[in-house]
Amino acid sequence: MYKHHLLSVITIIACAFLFIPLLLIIITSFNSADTISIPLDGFSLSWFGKVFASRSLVSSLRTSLLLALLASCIGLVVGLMCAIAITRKPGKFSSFCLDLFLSPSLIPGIVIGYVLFLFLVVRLKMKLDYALILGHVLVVLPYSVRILSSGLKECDETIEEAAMTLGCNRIQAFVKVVLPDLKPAFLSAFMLSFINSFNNIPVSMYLKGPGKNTLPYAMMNYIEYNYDPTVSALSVMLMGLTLVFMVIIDRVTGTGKGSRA
Amino acid sequence: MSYGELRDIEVSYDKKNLILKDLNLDIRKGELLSLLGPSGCGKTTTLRVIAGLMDTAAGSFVLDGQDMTHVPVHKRGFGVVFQSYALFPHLSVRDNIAFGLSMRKLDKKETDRKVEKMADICGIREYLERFPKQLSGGQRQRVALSRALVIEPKLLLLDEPLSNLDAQLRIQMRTTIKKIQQELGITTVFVTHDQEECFSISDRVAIMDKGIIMQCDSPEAIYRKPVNEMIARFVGFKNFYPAASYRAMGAQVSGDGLCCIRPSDITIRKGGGETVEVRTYLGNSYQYEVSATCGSMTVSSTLDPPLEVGEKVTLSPQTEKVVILGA
Repeated sequence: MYKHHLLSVITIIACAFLFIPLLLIIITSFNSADTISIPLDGFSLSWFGKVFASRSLVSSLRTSLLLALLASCIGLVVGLMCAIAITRKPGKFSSFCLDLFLSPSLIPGIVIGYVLFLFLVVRLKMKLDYALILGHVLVVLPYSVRILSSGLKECDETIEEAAMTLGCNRIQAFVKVVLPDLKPAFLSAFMLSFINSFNNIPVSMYLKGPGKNTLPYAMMNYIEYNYDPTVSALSVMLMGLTLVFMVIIDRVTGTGKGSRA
Repeated sequence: MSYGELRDIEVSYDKKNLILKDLNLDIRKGELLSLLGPSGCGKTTTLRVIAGLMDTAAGSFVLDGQDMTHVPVHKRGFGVVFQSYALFPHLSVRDNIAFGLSMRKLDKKETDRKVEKMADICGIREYLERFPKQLSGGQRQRVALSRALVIEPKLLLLDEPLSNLDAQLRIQMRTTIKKIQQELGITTVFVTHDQEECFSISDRVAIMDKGIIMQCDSPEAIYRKPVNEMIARFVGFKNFYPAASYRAMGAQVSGDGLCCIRPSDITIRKGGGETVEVRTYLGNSYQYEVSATCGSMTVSSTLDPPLEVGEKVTLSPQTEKVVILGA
Protein backbone atom coordinates (compact mmCIF):
# COMPACT_ATOMS: atom_id res chain seq x y z
CA MET A 1 0.00 0.00 0.00
CA TYR A 2 2.73 2.40 1.06
CA LYS A 3 4.68 1.56 -2.06
CA HIS A 4 1.74 2.45 -4.27
CA HIS A 5 1.35 5.77 -2.51
CA LEU A 6 4.98 6.63 -3.07
CA LEU A 7 4.70 5.63 -6.70
CA SER A 8 1.73 7.89 -7.32
CA VAL A 9 3.41 10.79 -5.57
CA ILE A 10 6.49 10.37 -7.74
CA THR A 11 4.33 10.10 -10.83
CA ILE A 12 2.47 13.29 -9.96
CA ILE A 13 5.71 15.16 -9.33
CA ALA A 14 7.20 13.92 -12.62
CA CYS A 15 4.10 14.90 -14.56
CA ALA A 16 3.99 18.30 -12.89
CA PHE A 17 7.63 18.83 -13.74
CA LEU A 18 6.92 17.94 -17.36
CA PHE A 19 3.69 19.77 -17.90
CA ILE A 20 3.64 22.87 -15.68
CA PRO A 21 6.23 24.74 -17.78
CA LEU A 22 4.28 23.92 -20.92
CA LEU A 23 1.11 25.05 -19.25
CA LEU A 24 2.76 28.34 -18.18
CA ILE A 25 3.83 29.01 -21.73
CA ILE A 26 0.33 28.37 -23.00
CA ILE A 27 -1.08 30.74 -20.38
CA THR A 28 1.44 33.50 -21.05
CA SER A 29 0.84 33.34 -24.78
CA PHE A 30 -2.70 34.59 -24.19
CA ASN A 31 -1.60 37.37 -21.85
CA SER A 32 -2.17 40.91 -22.97
CA ALA A 33 0.82 42.26 -20.97
CA ASP A 34 3.94 43.24 -22.85
CA THR A 35 6.27 40.88 -21.02
CA ILE A 36 6.19 37.19 -20.28
CA SER A 37 4.53 37.38 -16.89
CA ILE A 38 2.09 35.74 -14.57
CA PRO A 39 -0.56 36.48 -13.31
CA LEU A 40 -2.44 37.48 -16.42
CA ASP A 41 -3.22 41.07 -17.23
CA GLY A 42 -5.99 40.27 -19.63
CA PHE A 43 -6.81 38.00 -22.52
CA SER A 44 -5.33 38.67 -25.94
CA LEU A 45 -4.63 36.83 -29.17
CA SER A 46 -2.40 39.61 -30.49
CA TRP A 47 0.85 37.69 -29.90
CA PHE A 48 -0.20 35.06 -32.38
CA GLY A 49 -0.63 37.78 -34.93
CA LYS A 50 2.76 39.17 -34.05
CA VAL A 51 4.40 35.86 -34.88
CA PHE A 52 3.28 36.17 -38.46
CA ALA A 53 4.18 39.85 -38.53
CA SER A 54 7.78 39.03 -37.68
CA ARG A 55 9.66 38.47 -40.94
CA SER A 56 12.56 36.76 -39.27
CA LEU A 57 10.35 34.21 -37.45
CA VAL A 58 8.24 33.41 -40.51
CA SER A 59 11.17 33.01 -42.86
CA SER A 60 13.12 30.93 -40.33
CA LEU A 61 10.07 28.74 -39.79
CA ARG A 62 9.93 28.14 -43.52
CA THR A 63 13.66 27.38 -43.61
CA SER A 64 13.39 24.97 -40.72
CA LEU A 65 10.38 23.11 -42.10
CA LEU A 66 11.94 22.79 -45.53
CA LEU A 67 15.28 21.76 -44.07
CA ALA A 68 13.73 19.17 -41.76
CA LEU A 69 11.63 17.77 -44.59
CA LEU A 70 14.54 17.51 -47.02
CA ALA A 71 16.98 16.11 -44.46
CA SER A 72 14.46 13.56 -43.20
CA CYS A 73 13.60 12.37 -46.70
CA ILE A 74 17.23 12.05 -47.75
CA GLY A 75 17.96 10.42 -44.40
CA LEU A 76 15.17 7.90 -44.95
CA VAL A 77 16.39 6.94 -48.41
CA VAL A 78 20.03 6.62 -47.36
CA GLY A 79 18.99 4.98 -44.09
CA LEU A 80 16.86 2.43 -45.92
CA MET A 81 19.75 1.46 -48.16
CA CYS A 82 22.07 1.13 -45.16
CA ALA A 83 19.49 -0.87 -43.28
CA ILE A 84 18.98 -3.28 -46.18
CA ALA A 85 22.70 -3.83 -46.59
CA ILE A 86 23.23 -4.32 -42.88
CA THR A 87 20.34 -6.71 -42.26
CA ARG A 88 20.65 -8.79 -45.42
CA LYS A 89 24.34 -9.56 -45.04
CA PRO A 90 24.81 -9.98 -41.31
CA GLY A 91 28.34 -10.34 -40.02
CA LYS A 92 31.14 -8.53 -38.26
CA PHE A 93 31.48 -5.95 -41.00
CA SER A 94 27.75 -5.23 -40.93
CA SER A 95 27.66 -4.64 -37.20
CA PHE A 96 30.70 -2.41 -37.55
CA CYS A 97 28.86 -0.44 -40.24
CA LEU A 98 25.80 -0.19 -38.01
CA ASP A 99 27.93 1.30 -35.24
CA LEU A 100 29.47 3.64 -37.76
CA PHE A 101 26.11 4.88 -38.99
CA LEU A 102 24.88 5.36 -35.45
CA SER A 103 27.96 7.29 -34.37
CA PRO A 104 26.70 10.78 -35.38
CA SER A 105 24.19 10.51 -32.55
CA LEU A 106 27.05 10.00 -30.08
CA ILE A 107 29.33 12.78 -31.26
CA PRO A 108 28.33 16.19 -29.82
CA GLY A 109 26.45 18.23 -32.40
CA ILE A 110 28.73 21.18 -31.80
CA VAL A 111 31.69 19.07 -32.97
CA ILE A 112 29.86 17.80 -36.02
CA GLY A 113 28.89 21.32 -36.95
CA TYR A 114 32.42 22.63 -36.51
CA VAL A 115 34.04 19.78 -38.43
CA LEU A 116 31.55 20.00 -41.28
CA PHE A 117 32.08 23.73 -41.47
CA LEU A 118 35.83 23.29 -41.72
CA PHE A 119 35.67 20.44 -44.20
CA LEU A 120 32.69 21.20 -46.43
CA VAL A 121 32.63 24.95 -46.41
CA VAL A 122 36.20 26.06 -45.85
CA ARG A 123 37.99 23.17 -47.51
CA LEU A 124 35.62 22.05 -50.29
CA LYS A 125 34.04 25.50 -50.77
CA MET A 126 30.62 23.91 -50.80
CA LYS A 127 27.59 26.20 -50.85
CA LEU A 128 26.28 26.77 -47.34
CA ASP A 129 22.75 25.63 -48.18
CA TYR A 130 23.97 22.24 -49.33
CA ALA A 131 26.31 21.95 -46.37
CA LEU A 132 23.40 22.69 -44.04
CA ILE A 133 21.28 19.97 -45.62
CA LEU A 134 24.15 17.50 -45.51
CA GLY A 135 24.81 18.34 -41.87
CA HIS A 136 21.20 17.70 -40.98
CA VAL A 137 21.16 14.45 -42.95
CA LEU A 138 24.03 13.39 -40.73
CA VAL A 139 22.05 14.38 -37.66
CA VAL A 140 18.96 12.37 -38.68
CA LEU A 141 20.63 9.38 -40.30
CA PRO A 142 21.18 7.37 -37.09
CA TYR A 143 17.45 7.43 -36.36
CA SER A 144 16.37 6.08 -39.71
CA VAL A 145 19.17 3.49 -39.84
CA ARG A 146 18.36 2.19 -36.39
CA ILE A 147 14.58 2.13 -36.77
CA LEU A 148 14.50 0.81 -40.33
CA SER A 149 17.06 -1.91 -39.69
CA SER A 150 15.16 -3.19 -36.68
CA GLY A 151 11.98 -3.01 -38.78
CA LEU A 152 13.64 -5.03 -41.54
CA LYS A 153 14.94 -7.58 -39.07
CA GLU A 154 11.43 -8.24 -37.82
CA CYS A 155 10.11 -8.62 -41.33
CA ASP A 156 9.88 -12.25 -42.47
CA GLU A 157 12.34 -12.69 -45.33
CA THR A 158 10.41 -15.54 -46.87
CA ILE A 159 7.58 -13.19 -47.85
CA GLU A 160 10.02 -11.68 -50.32
CA GLU A 161 10.77 -15.11 -51.72
CA ALA A 162 7.08 -15.90 -51.82
CA ALA A 163 6.47 -12.75 -53.86
CA MET A 164 9.25 -13.79 -56.21
CA THR A 165 7.75 -17.22 -56.79
CA LEU A 166 4.51 -15.45 -57.68
CA GLY A 167 6.14 -13.42 -60.43
CA CYS A 168 7.90 -10.44 -58.85
CA ASN A 169 11.50 -9.65 -59.60
CA ARG A 170 13.68 -8.59 -56.67
CA ILE A 171 12.77 -4.93 -56.80
CA GLN A 172 9.06 -5.52 -57.30
CA ALA A 173 9.06 -7.96 -54.42
CA PHE A 174 10.69 -5.40 -52.18
CA VAL A 175 8.36 -2.59 -53.18
CA LYS A 176 5.15 -4.61 -53.14
CA VAL A 177 5.71 -6.75 -50.11
CA VAL A 178 8.51 -5.55 -47.85
CA LEU A 179 7.93 -1.79 -48.00
CA PRO A 180 4.26 -1.94 -46.97
CA ASP A 181 5.32 -4.07 -44.05
CA LEU A 182 7.83 -1.36 -43.08
CA LYS A 183 5.28 1.44 -43.07
CA PRO A 184 5.14 1.89 -39.27
CA ALA A 185 8.95 1.88 -39.10
CA PHE A 186 9.08 4.49 -41.87
CA LEU A 187 6.64 6.76 -40.09
CA SER A 188 8.40 6.64 -36.75
CA ALA A 189 11.79 7.09 -38.43
CA PHE A 190 10.44 10.10 -40.31
CA MET A 191 8.93 11.62 -37.21
CA LEU A 192 12.08 11.25 -35.13
CA SER A 193 14.23 12.56 -37.98
CA PHE A 194 11.99 15.53 -38.57
CA ILE A 195 11.84 16.51 -34.92
CA ASN A 196 15.59 16.13 -34.46
CA SER A 197 16.40 18.19 -37.51
CA PHE A 198 13.81 20.80 -36.54
CA ASN A 199 15.24 21.07 -33.03
CA ASN A 200 18.88 21.10 -33.98
CA ILE A 201 20.84 24.17 -33.02
CA PRO A 202 24.58 23.31 -32.94
CA VAL A 203 24.94 22.01 -36.50
CA SER A 204 22.76 24.77 -37.91
CA MET A 205 24.73 27.39 -36.02
CA TYR A 206 27.88 26.65 -38.01
CA LEU A 207 26.29 26.01 -41.38
CA LYS A 208 23.28 28.30 -41.63
CA GLY A 209 25.14 31.14 -43.27
CA PRO A 210 24.52 34.87 -42.98
CA GLY A 211 21.00 36.16 -43.22
CA LYS A 212 19.51 32.71 -42.96
CA ASN A 213 18.14 31.37 -39.70
CA THR A 214 16.57 28.17 -38.54
CA LEU A 215 13.62 28.54 -36.23
CA PRO A 216 15.21 27.55 -32.90
CA TYR A 217 18.05 29.96 -33.60
CA ALA A 218 15.69 32.75 -34.59
CA MET A 219 13.67 32.18 -31.45
CA MET A 220 16.78 32.47 -29.31
CA ASN A 221 17.72 35.67 -31.09
CA TYR A 222 14.26 37.09 -30.73
CA ILE A 223 14.05 36.48 -27.02
CA GLU A 224 17.40 38.10 -26.52
CA TYR A 225 16.04 41.44 -27.69
CA ASN A 226 12.30 41.19 -27.10
CA TYR A 227 11.01 39.81 -23.85
CA ASP A 228 7.41 39.58 -25.03
CA PRO A 229 5.06 36.60 -25.36
CA THR A 230 5.50 36.26 -29.14
CA VAL A 231 7.80 33.32 -28.61
CA SER A 232 5.26 31.81 -26.22
CA ALA A 233 2.61 32.08 -28.90
CA LEU A 234 4.95 30.49 -31.43
CA SER A 235 5.73 27.69 -28.99
CA VAL A 236 2.03 27.03 -28.49
CA MET A 237 1.58 26.77 -32.24
CA LEU A 238 4.51 24.39 -32.49
CA MET A 239 3.05 22.26 -29.71
CA GLY A 240 -0.26 22.23 -31.50
CA LEU A 241 1.46 21.23 -34.73
CA THR A 242 3.32 18.39 -32.99
CA LEU A 243 0.07 17.20 -31.48
CA VAL A 244 -1.63 17.12 -34.88
CA PHE A 245 1.40 15.36 -36.28
CA MET A 246 1.26 12.69 -33.61
CA VAL A 247 -2.48 12.15 -33.96
CA ILE A 248 -2.09 11.68 -37.72
CA ILE A 249 0.73 9.19 -37.29
CA ASP A 250 -1.17 7.35 -34.61
CA ARG A 251 -4.16 7.13 -36.94
CA VAL A 252 -2.10 5.88 -39.85
CA THR A 253 -0.08 3.28 -37.98
CA GLY A 254 -3.06 2.63 -35.70
CA THR A 255 -5.34 1.63 -38.56
CA GLY A 256 -2.45 -0.31 -40.01
CA LYS A 257 -2.23 -2.26 -36.79
CA GLY A 258 -5.99 -2.69 -36.62
CA SER A 259 -6.09 -4.32 -40.01
CA ARG A 260 -3.25 -6.63 -39.06
CA ALA A 261 -4.44 -7.63 -35.62
CA MET B 1 8.46 -40.56 -69.23
CA SER B 2 9.81 -38.16 -66.70
CA TYR B 3 8.35 -34.67 -66.62
CA GLY B 4 11.12 -32.96 -64.70
CA GLU B 5 14.73 -33.97 -64.41
CA LEU B 6 17.41 -32.79 -62.03
CA ARG B 7 20.79 -33.84 -63.39
CA ASP B 8 24.09 -33.86 -61.49
CA ILE B 9 23.06 -30.95 -59.30
CA GLU B 10 25.74 -29.57 -57.01
CA VAL B 11 25.16 -26.86 -54.45
CA SER B 12 27.61 -25.27 -52.09
CA TYR B 13 27.26 -22.31 -49.74
CA ASP B 14 30.93 -21.57 -49.36
CA LYS B 15 32.43 -23.05 -52.56
CA LYS B 16 34.16 -25.75 -50.50
CA ASN B 17 31.63 -27.97 -48.81
CA LEU B 18 28.95 -29.40 -51.05
CA ILE B 19 25.42 -29.35 -49.68
CA LEU B 20 24.19 -31.41 -52.62
CA LYS B 21 26.46 -33.81 -54.46
CA ASP B 22 25.69 -35.11 -57.93
CA LEU B 23 22.02 -35.12 -57.23
CA ASN B 24 19.77 -36.79 -59.80
CA LEU B 25 16.02 -36.83 -59.50
CA ASP B 26 13.18 -37.57 -61.89
CA ILE B 27 9.78 -36.05 -61.39
CA ARG B 28 6.87 -37.75 -63.13
CA LYS B 29 3.86 -35.87 -64.39
CA GLY B 30 1.00 -35.61 -61.92
CA GLU B 31 2.75 -37.42 -59.09
CA LEU B 32 3.29 -36.41 -55.51
CA LEU B 33 7.00 -36.89 -54.91
CA SER B 34 8.34 -36.52 -51.38
CA LEU B 35 11.81 -35.63 -50.26
CA LEU B 36 12.33 -37.31 -46.92
CA GLY B 37 15.28 -37.14 -44.60
CA PRO B 38 16.65 -35.85 -41.31
CA SER B 39 17.16 -32.10 -40.91
CA GLY B 40 20.25 -30.85 -42.67
CA CYS B 41 20.14 -33.60 -45.29
CA GLY B 42 19.63 -31.15 -48.15
CA LYS B 43 15.96 -31.75 -48.87
CA THR B 44 14.94 -28.12 -48.49
CA THR B 45 17.99 -27.10 -50.52
CA THR B 46 16.85 -29.42 -53.29
CA LEU B 47 13.42 -27.83 -53.21
CA ARG B 48 14.94 -24.35 -53.35
CA VAL B 49 17.03 -25.38 -56.34
CA ILE B 50 13.88 -26.57 -58.10
CA ALA B 51 12.09 -23.33 -57.16
CA GLY B 52 14.99 -21.26 -58.44
CA LEU B 53 15.60 -19.63 -55.06
CA MET B 54 19.09 -21.05 -54.93
CA ASP B 55 21.90 -21.09 -57.43
CA THR B 56 23.57 -24.33 -58.36
CA ALA B 57 27.30 -24.80 -58.77
CA ALA B 58 26.78 -27.45 -61.42
CA GLY B 59 24.08 -29.51 -63.05
CA SER B 60 20.87 -28.86 -64.93
CA PHE B 61 17.15 -28.84 -64.36
CA VAL B 62 14.79 -29.58 -67.21
CA LEU B 63 11.02 -29.38 -66.90
CA ASP B 64 8.63 -30.48 -69.59
CA GLY B 65 11.39 -30.37 -72.20
CA GLN B 66 12.41 -26.85 -71.23
CA ASP B 67 15.77 -26.04 -69.68
CA MET B 68 15.01 -24.25 -66.41
CA THR B 69 18.52 -24.17 -64.98
CA HIS B 70 19.04 -20.46 -65.53
CA VAL B 71 15.45 -19.25 -65.56
CA PRO B 72 15.05 -16.80 -62.64
CA VAL B 73 12.58 -17.66 -59.93
CA HIS B 74 9.95 -15.10 -60.94
CA LYS B 75 9.74 -16.47 -64.45
CA ARG B 76 9.44 -20.15 -63.49
CA GLY B 77 5.80 -19.94 -62.51
CA PHE B 78 5.94 -22.63 -59.85
CA GLY B 79 3.72 -22.55 -56.80
CA VAL B 80 5.63 -22.63 -53.55
CA VAL B 81 4.24 -23.10 -50.05
CA PHE B 82 6.75 -22.12 -47.38
CA GLN B 83 7.13 -23.61 -43.95
CA SER B 84 6.26 -20.27 -42.36
CA TYR B 85 3.44 -19.80 -44.93
CA ALA B 86 4.95 -16.39 -45.81
CA LEU B 87 1.58 -14.70 -46.22
CA PHE B 88 1.71 -10.98 -46.94
CA PRO B 89 0.61 -9.38 -43.66
CA HIS B 90 -0.62 -6.14 -45.19
CA LEU B 91 -2.96 -7.83 -47.66
CA SER B 92 -6.32 -9.47 -47.09
CA VAL B 93 -6.71 -13.17 -47.80
CA ARG B 94 -8.33 -12.30 -51.12
CA ASP B 95 -5.43 -10.05 -52.14
CA ASN B 96 -2.90 -12.60 -50.94
CA ILE B 97 -4.40 -15.25 -53.20
CA ALA B 98 -4.81 -12.78 -56.06
CA PHE B 99 -1.21 -11.58 -55.82
CA GLY B 100 0.21 -13.92 -58.45
CA LEU B 101 -2.68 -13.23 -60.79
CA SER B 102 -2.29 -9.47 -60.50
CA MET B 103 1.40 -9.89 -61.36
CA ARG B 104 0.16 -11.60 -64.52
CA LYS B 105 -2.11 -8.60 -65.25
CA LEU B 106 -5.28 -10.66 -65.23
CA ASP B 107 -8.45 -8.56 -65.32
CA LYS B 108 -10.46 -8.05 -62.14
CA LYS B 109 -13.44 -10.23 -63.01
CA GLU B 110 -11.35 -13.20 -64.04
CA THR B 111 -9.14 -12.76 -60.96
CA ASP B 112 -12.12 -12.75 -58.63
CA ARG B 113 -13.55 -15.83 -60.29
CA LYS B 114 -10.31 -17.78 -59.98
CA VAL B 115 -9.63 -16.63 -56.43
CA GLU B 116 -13.11 -17.61 -55.31
CA LYS B 117 -12.95 -20.96 -57.04
CA MET B 118 -9.62 -21.76 -55.41
CA ALA B 119 -10.89 -20.55 -52.04
CA ASP B 120 -13.81 -22.95 -52.43
CA ILE B 121 -11.51 -25.85 -53.21
CA CYS B 122 -9.34 -25.09 -50.18
CA GLY B 123 -12.30 -24.36 -47.93
CA ILE B 124 -11.49 -20.75 -47.02
CA ARG B 125 -14.26 -18.96 -48.92
CA GLU B 126 -15.64 -17.31 -45.78
CA TYR B 127 -12.28 -15.84 -44.76
CA LEU B 128 -11.51 -13.96 -47.98
CA GLU B 129 -11.89 -10.50 -46.43
CA ARG B 130 -9.85 -11.27 -43.32
CA PHE B 131 -6.18 -10.58 -42.76
CA PRO B 132 -3.58 -13.30 -42.16
CA LYS B 133 -3.18 -12.35 -38.47
CA GLN B 134 -6.84 -13.12 -37.92
CA LEU B 135 -6.50 -16.73 -39.10
CA SER B 136 -5.49 -19.92 -37.34
CA GLY B 137 -2.48 -21.96 -38.44
CA GLY B 138 -4.54 -24.39 -40.51
CA GLN B 139 -6.40 -21.58 -42.23
CA ARG B 140 -3.16 -19.76 -43.04
CA GLN B 141 -1.87 -23.00 -44.48
CA ARG B 142 -4.87 -23.19 -46.78
CA VAL B 143 -4.40 -19.58 -47.85
CA ALA B 144 -0.75 -20.28 -48.69
CA LEU B 145 -1.82 -23.33 -50.65
CA SER B 146 -4.50 -21.41 -52.54
CA ARG B 147 -2.06 -18.63 -53.33
CA ALA B 148 0.39 -21.13 -54.78
CA LEU B 149 -2.26 -23.05 -56.73
CA VAL B 150 -4.29 -20.22 -58.19
CA ILE B 151 -1.57 -19.35 -60.70
CA GLU B 152 -1.97 -22.86 -62.15
CA PRO B 153 1.68 -23.72 -61.63
CA LYS B 154 3.51 -26.34 -63.63
CA LEU B 155 4.91 -27.60 -60.38
CA LEU B 156 3.76 -27.27 -56.79
CA LEU B 157 6.52 -27.17 -54.19
CA LEU B 158 5.74 -27.69 -50.52
CA ASP B 159 8.41 -27.05 -47.91
CA GLU B 160 7.45 -28.87 -44.69
CA PRO B 161 4.00 -27.36 -44.93
CA LEU B 162 2.59 -29.29 -42.00
CA SER B 163 5.35 -28.92 -39.44
CA ASN B 164 3.81 -25.88 -37.75
CA LEU B 165 0.45 -27.54 -37.18
CA ASP B 166 -0.72 -29.65 -34.25
CA ALA B 167 -0.93 -33.42 -34.66
CA GLN B 168 -4.61 -33.68 -35.45
CA LEU B 169 -4.68 -30.82 -37.91
CA ARG B 170 -1.63 -32.30 -39.59
CA ILE B 171 -3.39 -35.51 -40.51
CA GLN B 172 -6.41 -33.56 -41.70
CA MET B 173 -4.30 -31.16 -43.79
CA ARG B 174 -2.23 -33.87 -45.41
CA THR B 175 -5.41 -35.56 -46.58
CA THR B 176 -6.63 -32.20 -47.87
CA ILE B 177 -3.37 -31.62 -49.72
CA LYS B 178 -3.48 -35.08 -51.28
CA LYS B 179 -7.11 -34.59 -52.29
CA ILE B 180 -6.49 -31.22 -53.91
CA GLN B 181 -3.35 -32.50 -55.57
CA GLN B 182 -5.23 -35.39 -57.13
CA GLU B 183 -8.22 -33.26 -58.05
CA LEU B 184 -6.06 -30.78 -59.94
CA GLY B 185 -3.63 -33.44 -61.14
CA ILE B 186 -0.76 -31.17 -60.28
CA THR B 187 2.82 -32.42 -60.12
CA THR B 188 3.99 -31.86 -56.58
CA VAL B 189 7.27 -32.02 -54.70
CA PHE B 190 6.82 -32.27 -50.96
CA VAL B 191 9.57 -31.88 -48.38
CA THR B 192 9.16 -33.48 -44.98
CA HIS B 193 11.05 -35.16 -42.16
CA ASP B 194 8.01 -37.09 -40.99
CA GLN B 195 8.08 -40.63 -42.34
CA GLU B 196 4.46 -41.48 -41.63
CA GLU B 197 3.21 -38.26 -43.20
CA CYS B 198 5.37 -38.85 -46.20
CA PHE B 199 4.51 -42.52 -46.83
CA SER B 200 0.82 -41.93 -46.37
CA ILE B 201 0.37 -39.42 -49.18
CA SER B 202 3.29 -39.82 -51.60
CA ASP B 203 3.33 -41.63 -54.90
CA ARG B 204 7.08 -41.85 -54.66
CA VAL B 205 9.55 -41.00 -51.94
CA ALA B 206 13.15 -39.90 -52.31
CA ILE B 207 15.06 -40.57 -49.11
CA MET B 208 17.98 -38.23 -48.64
CA ASP B 209 20.94 -38.10 -46.34
CA LYS B 210 23.98 -35.81 -46.40
CA GLY B 211 23.09 -34.31 -49.75
CA ILE B 212 22.60 -37.62 -51.52
CA ILE B 213 19.43 -39.37 -52.61
CA MET B 214 19.80 -42.90 -51.27
CA GLN B 215 16.62 -44.42 -52.58
CA CYS B 216 13.79 -43.11 -54.70
CA ASP B 217 10.84 -45.42 -55.06
CA SER B 218 7.21 -45.96 -54.17
CA PRO B 219 6.47 -46.12 -50.44
CA GLU B 220 5.51 -49.78 -50.81
CA ALA B 221 8.81 -50.67 -52.48
CA ILE B 222 10.83 -48.80 -49.87
CA TYR B 223 8.86 -50.44 -47.14
CA ARG B 224 9.40 -53.90 -48.64
CA LYS B 225 12.95 -53.54 -49.83
CA PRO B 226 15.09 -50.77 -48.32
CA VAL B 227 18.52 -50.46 -49.93
CA ASN B 228 20.65 -49.71 -46.90
CA GLU B 229 20.75 -50.02 -43.15
CA MET B 230 19.71 -46.45 -42.44
CA ILE B 231 16.57 -46.68 -44.56
CA ALA B 232 15.85 -50.17 -43.22
CA ARG B 233 15.98 -48.87 -39.65
CA PHE B 234 13.91 -45.87 -40.70
CA VAL B 235 11.07 -48.05 -41.99
CA GLY B 236 11.05 -50.42 -39.04
CA PHE B 237 13.47 -53.23 -39.86
CA LYS B 238 15.43 -54.76 -37.01
CA ASN B 239 17.75 -57.70 -36.40
CA PHE B 240 20.75 -56.65 -38.44
CA TYR B 241 23.04 -59.66 -38.70
CA PRO B 242 25.22 -61.23 -41.39
CA ALA B 243 23.59 -63.69 -43.81
CA ALA B 244 25.39 -66.57 -42.15
CA SER B 245 23.54 -65.97 -38.88
CA TYR B 246 20.25 -66.11 -40.75
CA ARG B 247 21.27 -69.34 -42.47
CA ALA B 248 21.98 -70.76 -39.03
CA MET B 249 18.38 -70.00 -38.10
CA GLY B 250 17.10 -71.82 -41.15
CA ALA B 251 16.47 -68.99 -43.61
CA GLN B 252 17.67 -69.68 -47.15
CA VAL B 253 19.64 -66.51 -47.82
CA SER B 254 22.72 -66.53 -49.98
CA GLY B 255 25.88 -64.43 -49.94
CA ASP B 256 27.49 -62.77 -46.94
CA GLY B 257 25.82 -59.37 -46.91
CA LEU B 258 24.08 -57.74 -43.96
CA CYS B 259 20.52 -58.99 -43.54
CA CYS B 260 17.56 -57.76 -41.59
CA ILE B 261 13.95 -58.58 -40.95
CA ARG B 262 10.94 -56.99 -39.27
CA PRO B 263 10.13 -58.28 -35.79
CA SER B 264 6.72 -59.47 -37.02
CA ASP B 265 8.20 -61.66 -39.79
CA ILE B 266 9.92 -64.09 -37.48
CA THR B 267 7.99 -67.12 -36.32
CA ILE B 268 8.52 -67.92 -32.68
CA ARG B 269 7.79 -71.39 -31.21
CA LYS B 270 7.98 -72.79 -27.70
CA GLY B 271 10.84 -75.11 -26.91
CA GLY B 272 14.36 -74.90 -28.27
CA GLY B 273 17.72 -73.34 -27.54
CA GLU B 274 16.96 -69.61 -27.34
CA THR B 275 15.82 -67.71 -24.28
CA VAL B 276 13.28 -64.88 -23.92
CA GLU B 277 15.01 -61.99 -22.15
CA VAL B 278 12.51 -59.13 -22.20
CA ARG B 279 8.82 -58.94 -22.93
CA THR B 280 7.09 -55.68 -23.95
CA TYR B 281 3.36 -55.26 -24.42
CA LEU B 282 2.44 -53.50 -27.68
CA GLY B 283 -1.35 -53.57 -27.47
CA ASN B 284 -2.24 -56.10 -30.14
CA SER B 285 0.92 -58.15 -29.75
CA TYR B 286 3.95 -58.67 -27.57
CA GLN B 287 7.51 -57.87 -28.46
CA TYR B 288 10.24 -60.14 -27.17
CA GLU B 289 13.96 -59.70 -26.94
CA VAL B 290 15.36 -63.17 -27.46
CA SER B 291 19.00 -64.04 -26.95
CA ALA B 292 19.98 -66.15 -29.92
CA THR B 293 23.38 -67.50 -30.92
CA CYS B 294 24.12 -64.47 -33.13
CA GLY B 295 23.01 -61.94 -30.52
CA SER B 296 19.78 -60.36 -29.37
CA MET B 297 16.83 -60.72 -31.77
CA THR B 298 13.68 -58.60 -31.64
CA VAL B 299 10.55 -60.59 -32.39
CA SER B 300 6.91 -59.68 -32.14
CA SER B 301 4.20 -62.25 -31.81
CA THR B 302 0.50 -62.52 -31.08
CA LEU B 303 0.95 -65.88 -29.30
CA ASP B 304 -1.74 -66.34 -26.67
CA PRO B 305 -1.04 -66.90 -23.86
CA PRO B 306 2.16 -64.87 -24.16
CA LEU B 307 5.59 -66.35 -23.55
CA GLU B 308 7.19 -65.87 -20.18
CA VAL B 309 10.58 -64.27 -19.60
CA GLY B 310 13.18 -67.03 -19.36
CA GLU B 311 11.17 -69.43 -21.52
CA LYS B 312 13.05 -71.48 -24.11
CA VAL B 313 12.00 -70.82 -27.72
CA THR B 314 12.97 -71.43 -31.35
CA LEU B 315 13.12 -68.60 -33.90
CA SER B 316 12.59 -69.13 -37.61
CA PRO B 317 12.79 -66.05 -39.84
CA GLN B 318 10.60 -66.27 -42.96
CA THR B 319 13.02 -66.54 -45.86
CA GLU B 320 11.07 -64.34 -48.28
CA LYS B 321 10.85 -61.55 -45.71
CA VAL B 322 14.56 -61.32 -45.06
CA VAL B 323 16.10 -58.31 -46.78
CA ILE B 324 19.71 -58.51 -47.90
CA LEU B 325 21.06 -54.96 -47.80
CA GLY B 326 23.28 -53.60 -50.53
CA ALA B 327 22.19 -56.38 -52.87
